[in-house]
Amino acid sequence: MITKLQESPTNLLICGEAPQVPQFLGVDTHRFTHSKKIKDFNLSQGPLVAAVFADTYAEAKEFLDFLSDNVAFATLVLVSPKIQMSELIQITNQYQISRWVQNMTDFKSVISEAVSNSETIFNRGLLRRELTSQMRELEHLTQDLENLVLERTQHIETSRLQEEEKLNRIRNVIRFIKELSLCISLEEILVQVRRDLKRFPRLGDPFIIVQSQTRGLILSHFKGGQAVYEQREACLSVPDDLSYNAKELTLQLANLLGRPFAKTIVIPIEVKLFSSLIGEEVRAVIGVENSLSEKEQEDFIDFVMERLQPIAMTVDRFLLEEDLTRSSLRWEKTFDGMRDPIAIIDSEFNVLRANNKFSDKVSLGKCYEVFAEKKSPCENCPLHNSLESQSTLSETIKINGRLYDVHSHPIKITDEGAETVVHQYVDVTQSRELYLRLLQNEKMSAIGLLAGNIAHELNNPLTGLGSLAQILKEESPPESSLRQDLDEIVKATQRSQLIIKNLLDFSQGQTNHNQVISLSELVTRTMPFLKTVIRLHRVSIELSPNLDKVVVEPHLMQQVIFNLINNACQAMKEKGKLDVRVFANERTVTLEVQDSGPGISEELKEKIFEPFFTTKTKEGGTGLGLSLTKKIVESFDGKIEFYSNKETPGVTFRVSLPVAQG
Amino acid sequence: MKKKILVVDDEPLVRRSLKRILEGSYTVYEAEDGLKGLNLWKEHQPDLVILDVLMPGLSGPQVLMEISQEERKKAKVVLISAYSGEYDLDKAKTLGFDLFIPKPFDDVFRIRAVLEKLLEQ
Repeated sequence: MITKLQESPTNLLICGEAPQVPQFLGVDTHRFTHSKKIKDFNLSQGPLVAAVFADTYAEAKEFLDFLSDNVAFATLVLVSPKIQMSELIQITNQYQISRWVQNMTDFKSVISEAVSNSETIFNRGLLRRELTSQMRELEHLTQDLENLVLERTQHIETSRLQEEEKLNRIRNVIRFIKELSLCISLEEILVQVRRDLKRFPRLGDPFIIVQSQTRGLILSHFKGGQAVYEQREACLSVPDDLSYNAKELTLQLANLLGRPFAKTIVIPIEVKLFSSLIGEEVRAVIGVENSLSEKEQEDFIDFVMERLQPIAMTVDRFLLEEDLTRSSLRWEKTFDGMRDPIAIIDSEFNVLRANNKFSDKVSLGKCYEVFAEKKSPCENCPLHNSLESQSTLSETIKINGRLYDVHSHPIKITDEGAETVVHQYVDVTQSRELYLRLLQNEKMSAIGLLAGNIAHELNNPLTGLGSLAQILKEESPPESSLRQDLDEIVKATQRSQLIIKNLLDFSQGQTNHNQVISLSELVTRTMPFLKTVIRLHRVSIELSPNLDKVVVEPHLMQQVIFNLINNACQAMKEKGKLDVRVFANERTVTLEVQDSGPGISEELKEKIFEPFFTTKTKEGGTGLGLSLTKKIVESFDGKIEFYSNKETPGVTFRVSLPVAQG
Repeated sequence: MKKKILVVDDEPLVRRSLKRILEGSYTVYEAEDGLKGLNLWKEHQPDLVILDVLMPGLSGPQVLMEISQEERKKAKVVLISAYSGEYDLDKAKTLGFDLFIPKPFDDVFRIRAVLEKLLEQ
């Protein structure tokens, strides 16, 4: 094994005065008589055996010194037949002599052995070297590996930190978005943005500008540490690109807000929804004054860009909401500004929304409870019919003493049928009253015209009849029954003439001014027109014709008497008793009309003088009679009241008028 | 010679009663409408004409418009009417009448007395 390792042959150095030496197989033999010549020889190649021929210490020393200095793994053989023992000991001690040869007979075997030894040693050396180098290589490899592992570990550590940082950034952005989502005003958005930007020193307060044609300039900024919201008339040059120093805008802002502005970074934000809602281009920017360095500016822009989308969306959302709120408010104001009560009502009569003419209460219930103050839906309510037919229907309904035209419009939002209606309540009390008055007047004037014609037609023959009867009566024998008969005819014609005259007065009402007249007289004049209505009943009339002068317009007062007696008779469905009384004291003349009918129920008592209140809908009552009566009486400084009690049946209406003075 | 009185009225009983009360002292002519009344006026030249306002044919005021000024001056004119709010009464006033008596008459004898007085003027 060992022999194979060595590539160079073993060198045998023969040093000193040496005899001829035998050749050894596989060994290069070199001769040196002087030590100095050895240095030209490459001693490091292969194993080396040096045979030093010397008889004294001095001779040996010359070579041995040189060899021990220059050859590391030489096997040294001393050939010295004559050397003294003491010198030999000295040499042996001083140098690493492997063998001592006394004579040449041993030389060959010793050298062979030495060569073999030397080769072994050399090979061992080689092996060791090899091992050492391999070891070293291994060490290097290990070192490299360790370095690699370290590097990798460091890299992993770095990425972990980076990831963590990234995660933190994302967390921050998410927190920022969350906070933004809670903002309900531009000011709050601005406050959030400012809080988020606090990490940057040398940064002023942020501001937001939104500018459009129709909505003008919306500006949110910090004023005395408080975020404010303003709408201004001004038109600013808002850049549509990122600007590190928006000079023109800051100049305008400085003028607008009356304070100096530092260098300002302006970043556009997109408000797409708002733009599409109002149908025009909207410029929106977020800006901030700063004294950032260029590097810081980049960091700042990176930081803001990460948040720009959420900021833009929040501003957009706010603008949208505000615009919707504004338009909804506009509708609400319009709604409230309407003259008529209006309400949106569902099929169960629940009021969903209403204007303040309908109700000033915030919480709403059923329409009939809120508006009509009833416990059940109004009679004739058009709501259900309107929903059923899906068309606008109207009805006239009396609510709280007023008369309303209730228009029920179904609201169709989808293609499916409407489930809610808009109710509009148009107050027609006055116009209806005027209309019915007009109708009444028309009726009266028609009656007047008719009565005039009838009076004419009747008066002509009555004139002839009366005159002829008077003549015949004069010509008839006194005390005769003929004369008495003719006298009756004369009286009858006179009575007829009076009735016609009263009818004319009543129907034409031409006097139109108050006069002093006896109330009893007016009752007497009126009774003939009531004959058909009173004929069923027992009638008692008590008058006091001398003390009952009042100041009235006769024909209007006759209407009062007519109405009261007519009502009383109509109240008595069956044969009853009618009492008409006129009595007076020093101050007051009183007319009482009492019937024996069923009386007036408690709930109707309050409403009886209200216009359009009637219990005679089927008979065509207008509900104006008593209200008109009351008005007439009050116009004469009188008053009208009614009472009923358990002792006397029915109702008594009492009209009190002041006695005519003088 | 008796004075002549013309009664123009479409109501027979009025004509009859007036004729009855007046014919003792006067010659009474009767006409049942305005047109006949106008003819009788021209024919008989009455001293007094009692003229109803509202009549078929010609109304009282129309008769007054038709009659000539000369004939009109010779007669006293009394308008009678059952309808005090009379049409054309204002116009009749401008045409001139001597007395207006509303119908119905309260007392026919008083009417005769008034007419007699009027004729004496």
